[in-house]
Amino acid sequence: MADVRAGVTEVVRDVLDRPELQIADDQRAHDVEGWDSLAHVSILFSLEDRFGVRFSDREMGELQDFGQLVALVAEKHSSS
Amino acid sequence: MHPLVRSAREHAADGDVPAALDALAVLASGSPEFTDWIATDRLLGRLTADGAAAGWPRRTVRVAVLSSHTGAQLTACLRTAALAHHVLVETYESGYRTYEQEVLDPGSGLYGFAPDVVVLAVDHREVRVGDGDDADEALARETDRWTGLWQDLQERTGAVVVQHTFVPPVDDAWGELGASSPTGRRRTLRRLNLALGDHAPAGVHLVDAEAVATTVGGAAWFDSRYWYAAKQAVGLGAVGLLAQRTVDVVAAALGLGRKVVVLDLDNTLWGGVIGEDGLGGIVLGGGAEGEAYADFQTFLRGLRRRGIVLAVCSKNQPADARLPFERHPEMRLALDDLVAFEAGWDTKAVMLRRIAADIGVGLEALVLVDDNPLERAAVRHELPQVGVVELPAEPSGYAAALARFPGLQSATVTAEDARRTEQYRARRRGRELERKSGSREDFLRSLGTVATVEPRDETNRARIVQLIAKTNQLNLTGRRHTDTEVDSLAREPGAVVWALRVRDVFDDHGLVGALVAVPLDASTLRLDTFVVSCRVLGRDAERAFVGALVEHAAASGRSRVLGEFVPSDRNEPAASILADVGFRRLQETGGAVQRWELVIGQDEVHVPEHVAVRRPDPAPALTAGLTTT
Repeated sequence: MADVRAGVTEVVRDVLDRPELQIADDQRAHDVEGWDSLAHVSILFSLEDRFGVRFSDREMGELQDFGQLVALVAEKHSSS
Repeated sequence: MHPLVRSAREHAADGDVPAALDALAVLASGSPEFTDWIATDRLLGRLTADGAAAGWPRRTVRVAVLSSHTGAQLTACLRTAALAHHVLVETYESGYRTYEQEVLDPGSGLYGFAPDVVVLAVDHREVRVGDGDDADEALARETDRWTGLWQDLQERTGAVVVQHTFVPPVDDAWGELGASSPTGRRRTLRRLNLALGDHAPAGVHLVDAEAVATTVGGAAWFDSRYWYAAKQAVGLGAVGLLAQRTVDVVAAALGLGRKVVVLDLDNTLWGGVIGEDGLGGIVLGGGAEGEAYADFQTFLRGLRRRGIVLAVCSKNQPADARLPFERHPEMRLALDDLVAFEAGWDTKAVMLRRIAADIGVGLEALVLVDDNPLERAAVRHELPQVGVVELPAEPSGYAAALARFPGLQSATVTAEDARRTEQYRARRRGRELERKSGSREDFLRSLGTVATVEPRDETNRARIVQLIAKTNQLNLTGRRHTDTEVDSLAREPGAVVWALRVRDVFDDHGLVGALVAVPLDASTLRLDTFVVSCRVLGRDAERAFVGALVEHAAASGRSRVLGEFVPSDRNEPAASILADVGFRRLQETGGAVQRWELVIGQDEVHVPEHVAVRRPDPAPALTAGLTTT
């Protein structure tokens, strides 16, 4: 889980070009500076690509906060 | 994080913006990875924000992206892709699906932006052809609509226009009928792509999006989850390559393309090291690896025909470096295909500078193709303007790596090229007619087959043994001689060991046949082994080959040729070769070997008229065994 959290954080940092970014679990994506709807799609794709996971139709539209994203990637990653 | 992005960040932190941009330019020249490219674009935004990049780009280009779908990721990737050309791109993006309004309204933001380039990033959903429509009518209507948009753009901006072709969706309700039925959707989309190509005036260019989709795969191109979630018509795994191709066409249209492909030799044009392995030791033609090298050379000749110039830059003794060009029969490139030939012991950077100066182009016109990663790294470091192809480890991947390298597109063709295209079209039409009406003989004659017979020597001996070992169908006796065995057969006085090469108007098939014949007695030559690859099956080259041997036997004073046929479960296609040439079967003695004879001066020899045979001369020299050195 810690590995996944670090990996998700790195993807977000890369996509947003903010190497020092710290994100709390309950932080909502849209409250992070630069994390707009376009960046959101890029982040989803980058996570799928990096972890070899696949978000469902519903998840694509619903994912909102950082902790939720980490937990979902961890769950899918461990079962893949 | 990609090491090049990290390195660019470090240079940026040190305040060295040009070095940061050089690192990103190398990243942009490689195979696009979405996350890295998006990260690059963000970093680029910081690097260029306060004019710190001034002086680095060859040119800054204003690009308007008019999209029928979400275009932000494509736009970001276009900015990244342009770095490979040492170009910075300033972009304007139309609102979601407003491309048509933007073009039609003279007061739109598009025209306020004053673009140098307009990219029409449109997808198949924009093609307004309904299921019940008359296909011809709808197609004409759509062609008019798009050409009309181009015309408005050209009249109002003078910009270069680049449009993505439509990628036919694979999972539509039409099934396989979609490709063939007159109103099938996929067929209509393909027809529209062709019509747009036919109607594109000067200054309007198409990007073959279907080729991009094929490269990344349908699953990556069409990811419908991203369409429903964010109106991404092009999968994000495909956007980078689409951007790379788009910018490549733009660069060519603006005259920013590269012009000279500079080639290393050892392990780039052939396998092995000519200075150590010698002419017979290098790997070229004959066998999987050798054919990959040969095909890469063929690809390079294709580039040359399209107007890309070729040069050589090699660390070698000049005489060694030239030897394969002068003497190796499998070389596809000749010395006169090259505009410069640098061989010596200077660094590659020094030699590349000399090539550029000699032919009067800038360093940014050069692309280096070199299998050695150290040489590549050195050139990237010393001459960042030179494009350096990241070659894969295997020669089978060389052509694709070079084909995808940014900067080698041609946007326009010269008047002469255009005429050539018409000639080819006329020739093709001629062939189509022939195919419809002609007989098999007409067809074979039109192939212009040339069979070249050559004696065994150090350049073909390995291939001869390989053919003997591998050929199953056109194989008379199935004897699998080793190189040493062939050697000892060849040493018998009067023995003949030949290789056969076949080419026709379409292709050079290379070395495809071999035979071993040894004297039985003073009057008789016995055909011990005869193999021809099934690559040239059906064009009678095997008969021409046997015919050449009969002629040779006659010229050397023999009165008879003895043929042998050993039937196996695989060589049925070879069963009639001897009879077809005119051999008569001898009374059976039992056993597995059929014996056939042809009496010279008495039996008629039937050789195919449509195959031109080139035989080595003078004949007696051939009978000598191979002298090993």
